Amino acid sequence: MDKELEDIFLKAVEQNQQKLLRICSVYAKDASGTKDLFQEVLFNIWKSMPSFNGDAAIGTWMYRITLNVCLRMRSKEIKLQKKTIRMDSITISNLKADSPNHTQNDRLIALRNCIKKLNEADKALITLYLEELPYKEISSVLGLNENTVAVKVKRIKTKLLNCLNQRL
Amino acid sequence: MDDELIKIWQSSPEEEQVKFEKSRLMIDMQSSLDRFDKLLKYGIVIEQIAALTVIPVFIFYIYFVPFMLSKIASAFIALWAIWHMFNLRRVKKGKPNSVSVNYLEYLYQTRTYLQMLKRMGDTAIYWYILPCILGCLLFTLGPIIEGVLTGLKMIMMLLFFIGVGVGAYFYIKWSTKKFYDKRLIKLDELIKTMEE
Repeated sequence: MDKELEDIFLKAVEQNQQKLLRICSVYAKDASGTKDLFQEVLFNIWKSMPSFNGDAAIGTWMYRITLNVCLRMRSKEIKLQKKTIRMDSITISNLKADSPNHTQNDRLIALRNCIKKLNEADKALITLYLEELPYKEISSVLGLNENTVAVKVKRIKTKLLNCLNQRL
Repeated sequence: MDDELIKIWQSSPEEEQVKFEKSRLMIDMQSSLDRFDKLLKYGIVIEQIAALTVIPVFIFYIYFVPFMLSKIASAFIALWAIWHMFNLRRVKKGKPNSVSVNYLEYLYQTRTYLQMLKRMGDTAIYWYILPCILGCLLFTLGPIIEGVLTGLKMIMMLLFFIGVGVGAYFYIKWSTKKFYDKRLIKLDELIKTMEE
């Protein structure tokens, strides 16, 4: 692949890495699974780079790939530790409950656990919403119309808040 | 409270950050791509090599095996192997390769692909097992009718082909149920939820 694509890829990964990692975190069982999934996502983004034609913003395009890869990994029920790509160039530090931001971490862990309990469709939608993607972009990533997105977001948020209240 | 949810979600703490080395990442990416391509090609190549091996071997038999029934069986098996190769190509084309389409579209594509594989598994007895076993049995019947193959050898050969056929039938039935049925149910549920 040419240098231009490589630069676009690296820049986009740098800008979106935390967002993609957050999405992966709700599809993986643990921190190690998150890393494996994240690597798989990066690999698929890199593999699809030649087909990126700029119709959508690169961030939106990356979200699409991330969700589809997360879905594919789950449906295949692949044992990620054994079958995914190993990249030494990427390191992800783990979330620790006993860190200085103890309360904040607890809330984040609780929120992730609540999201993990949702069905796949709701999970995909709410993660994009929480990444503050406009409804228009969410509908483009998921293939739904904007009204449906709005209705679903409202419903899922209520579910999440109820779940969080029970956990905190 | 909306903002609160977003705030919690985006509060990736210091303890959980991605770090990557740009130069090494690109090397990793390229080598992964090479590895992936090899893996993908590997499975299909094995099937194609098997079919490609069968074709010349049985074309050779058409000319060199002296028994008429075996000649007919050889032609039949060679034709079936050619058809199977085209079938493999069709299956390969149906696989949803692009992960850059929207989520719902990806679900539809995956469902169509799995339905195709399941249909193939369900009907494997007609297009895979029966033609193969029939071909092998006909091939064996050639020397039996001519009286070249007799006694225990003949019975063992016939039993072997029938056994392989029965075994293959149950294996395909089991694997279809195990691999496709559950996934298709999950996919249908997911598509239904998305479309609600």
